[in-house]
Amino acid sequence: MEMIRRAIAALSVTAAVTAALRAAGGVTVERQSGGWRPLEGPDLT
Amino acid sequence: MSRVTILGAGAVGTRVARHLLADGLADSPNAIDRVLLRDVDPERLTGALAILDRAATEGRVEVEHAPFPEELDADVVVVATPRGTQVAAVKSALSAGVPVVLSGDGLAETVAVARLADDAHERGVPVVLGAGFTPGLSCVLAAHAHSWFDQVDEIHVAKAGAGGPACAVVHHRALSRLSYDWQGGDWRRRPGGSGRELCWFPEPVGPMDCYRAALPDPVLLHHAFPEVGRITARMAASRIDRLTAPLPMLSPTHVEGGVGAVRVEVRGRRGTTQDVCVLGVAERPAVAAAAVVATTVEWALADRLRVRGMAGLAEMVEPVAFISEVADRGLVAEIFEGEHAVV
Repeated sequence: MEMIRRAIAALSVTAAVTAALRAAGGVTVERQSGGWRPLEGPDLT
Repeated sequence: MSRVTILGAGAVGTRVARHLLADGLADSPNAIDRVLLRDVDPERLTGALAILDRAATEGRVEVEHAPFPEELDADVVVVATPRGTQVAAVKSALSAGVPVVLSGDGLAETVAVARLADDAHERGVPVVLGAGFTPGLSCVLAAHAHSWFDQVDEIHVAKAGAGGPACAVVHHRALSRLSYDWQGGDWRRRPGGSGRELCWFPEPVGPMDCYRAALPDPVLLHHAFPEVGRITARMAASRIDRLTAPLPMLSPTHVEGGVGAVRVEVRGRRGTTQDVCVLGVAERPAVAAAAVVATTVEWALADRLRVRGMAGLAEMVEPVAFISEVADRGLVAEIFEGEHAVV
């Protein structure tokens, strides 16, 4: 019984930490350089 | 004036007819004055006729449903039929000595058709294997990027999305079959759905997780570039796609998928430096495949195909001219300019 309680407690803590990290890590970082551009001009020679 | 027979009036076949008949309005020696659409489903043919309304009214479209007549009276045959029917269609066209453009994207079927290569070579009949979005345009992009390098070490192809229902079924099954990658002078078989890699496709598709799958691109690209040491192909998939891949399709397929994309990464040496080139295209796969097929048909009619036998598009066409011509049909290739990787 004690072991089950410990396992549930461990899972709860893991879930809480995961939720916190997910919430904190939700900020997206915009690309600073590069990207896609049409293939044209000297690229098509 | 030319006559083209299109086998399969699905998402790709009908659009190919529309492209060819639109081009037929031009006053060109290779203008297509008549298109014959064959399909086993009369409802699909009725739908195709409604789409090709003007040309049908002018009597430039004929339709045939099963049982089909024996003879194949055409200058080019387009095979846009579902898996399991393509080998017989190619055999029939070959025996009639008619050039074939095949838009299939299944690995097993592509390999089965490739076994007819000797026959095509002996007859001197061009058979374009994999003339769709991927394989097809992916092979042309790989050939174009290949030309920028002094030595190519690796080619990696990734695809996202599916076209019509037949394409969706192939897409679904590919994740549960063995993938074939060329590495170190031999074919490496690995389970489909393994080898996750984040691939950045052109917008609006963007970044997607891609996995190994039973895709024919490595087979066609190895034939075109036997000196390249590593050739792989992956496809974008969700967790649900991977989980349900071994099962039959649980829900009916969409009439047509959304915007998909293809991405080709080529690594090699330019001068004394190692370099990477990434090319891609984003479009609805059936729309893109139709544009590629229609352009290939025009090249076949104009006798511009390089090989009088069986080969993929990488060997069959001159990449720069082909990419320019599909761009005229709205299929614009893009190049990725990220952090320029020079090792």
